[in-house]
Amino acid sequence: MVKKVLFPDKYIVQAIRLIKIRWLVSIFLFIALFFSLYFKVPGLHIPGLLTSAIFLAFLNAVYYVWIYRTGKKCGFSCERPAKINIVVQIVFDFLMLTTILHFSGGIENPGIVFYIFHMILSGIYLKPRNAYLITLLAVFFFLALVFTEYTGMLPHYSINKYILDLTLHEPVYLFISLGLFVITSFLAAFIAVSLSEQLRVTQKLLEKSNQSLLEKDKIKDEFVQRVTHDIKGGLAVTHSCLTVVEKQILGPLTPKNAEFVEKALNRTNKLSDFINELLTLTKMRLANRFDTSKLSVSEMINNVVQNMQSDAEKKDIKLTLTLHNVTLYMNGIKVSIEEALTNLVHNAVKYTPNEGEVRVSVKKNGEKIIIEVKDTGYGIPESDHSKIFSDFFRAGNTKDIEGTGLGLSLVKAIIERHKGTINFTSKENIGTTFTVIFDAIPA
Amino acid sequence: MNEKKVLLVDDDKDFVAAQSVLLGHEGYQIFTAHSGEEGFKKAKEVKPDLIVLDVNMETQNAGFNMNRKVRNEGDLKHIPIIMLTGIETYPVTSQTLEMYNAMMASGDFDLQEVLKVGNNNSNTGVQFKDDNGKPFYLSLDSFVSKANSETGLLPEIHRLIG
Repeated sequence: MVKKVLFPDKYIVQAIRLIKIRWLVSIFLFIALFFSLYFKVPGLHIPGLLTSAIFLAFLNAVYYVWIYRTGKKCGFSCERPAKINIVVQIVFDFLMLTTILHFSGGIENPGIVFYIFHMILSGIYLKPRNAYLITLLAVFFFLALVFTEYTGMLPHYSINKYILDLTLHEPVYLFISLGLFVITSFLAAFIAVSLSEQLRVTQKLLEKSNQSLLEKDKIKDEFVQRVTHDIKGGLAVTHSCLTVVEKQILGPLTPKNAEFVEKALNRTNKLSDFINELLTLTKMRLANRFDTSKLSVSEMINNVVQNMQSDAEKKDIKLTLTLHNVTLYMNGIKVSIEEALTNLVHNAVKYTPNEGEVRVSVKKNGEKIIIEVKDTGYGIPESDHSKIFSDFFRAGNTKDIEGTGLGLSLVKAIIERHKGTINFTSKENIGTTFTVIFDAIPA
Repeated sequence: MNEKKVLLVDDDKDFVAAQSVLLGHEGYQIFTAHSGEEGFKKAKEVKPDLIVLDVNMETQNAGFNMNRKVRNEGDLKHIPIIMLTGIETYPVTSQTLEMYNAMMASGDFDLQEVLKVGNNNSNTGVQFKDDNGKPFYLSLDSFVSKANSETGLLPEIHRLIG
């Protein structure tokens, strides 16, 4: 039912965003290293940090090539490969962060908060279980760092003499700060996970109700189609029966009776036209199959205008066609497009008073075909402009002219089915210009 | 004058009654039947010059099935048939029809409408499911929508038998 719209996959976008941020982080690292060399900051293990910074930039280039290639070939199933990329990025970030922290003071370095970012990110983009696993992994890396440095398995590069004393000789302080770090980590992950879960639930609900609305609309259309179809059948029979009487085959009618039978026949005809339009419209809306072919626009519009010529002559209306370009082609269903164009020209003739003028023109602008139907008719009152494409709507100044009110919504449905647009400008008692735009295809 | 015989087969008795009078008035001799089965018997009996046949009668495709039977019956198969339909027909190209045919055979697609091939009557045909649910292609002489029978039926009769 609902087609999946082809967007750049949001996980790919997220992976690329992470890479972009990491470029900034790498640059920041190099600048920080430069300054710490310049100001001779004590305690840092510069060779280790420099190697880490270079390695981080290298890794980032690898991520970039990887996700670029994935994005090119994954098509509709980008979510999984992109998520794998993101997870690898996060895990290696934890490793790099731990390494960099090791060379710059370990637990003394306030940079330990950087772990939190990835916990929040994974809470948003990964399944809750995986988000908590990522959090656990970060906590494990950090605890391992502190443990190995505390026990002396790895050297501790202190950046602050005071904290060194405190951390290394005060197990209570050490324990409390580690505990706080663990709690903060899991809290951050928890908040991110629950917020994004809520969002996901809301999104699912919206998708579901959207789907059910579409389905209800379809059921409605199918219902209308069935009902109109039954009415149509009944009308056809009524019409046949009335024709028998009207033709006086079985016996003569008094002139008065004949008059009323004729009225009844006329009304059946009109009702039948109306039902046919309604059916075509519903069919257009329900149709999901298309038998399109290459259509010559100039040929179609020429036929339409010629067929309408006699109607125009009856009202002494000058109906002209100007073709600025004769080799114009589009893709579409011939009968539908002809129906739409006929409807537009027919409307123009119908709503233009005697001795008026209707000008149809076709031209090409870039890759677009522009069809204009311009009349010197009654125009559409300003207040009705927003409503004229609605089903059953008829402008306030047309009450004396017969019509179903379905014509323009049919026209619009057809044009939109063909990925075209329709617009109009109109001034009451001066005239209306309808502009239809379709995509052109090569001749 | 030797009147041409027209057999009207439709389960809508009002429609048949009205059309009998109208076509009778045009100078045809009218025979009527109200089901595919009855229609076939009548056709064998009276050997009409033309059959006007509704699609949806005792079953959804009773008309098509009768059409098929007439086409397979030695002494009837030359008789032109006008199919009348109230259901929606959908004109398609023969390639599309082939595609639907394959889809129906694999059960992926349930045909709600009768697909009509070609715009001119010279190669009109329909794709429909017979009573066993098998897709079947039937070539037709003429296919007229019931709602337009006023404008469509009589010219078609004239075209086929004069």
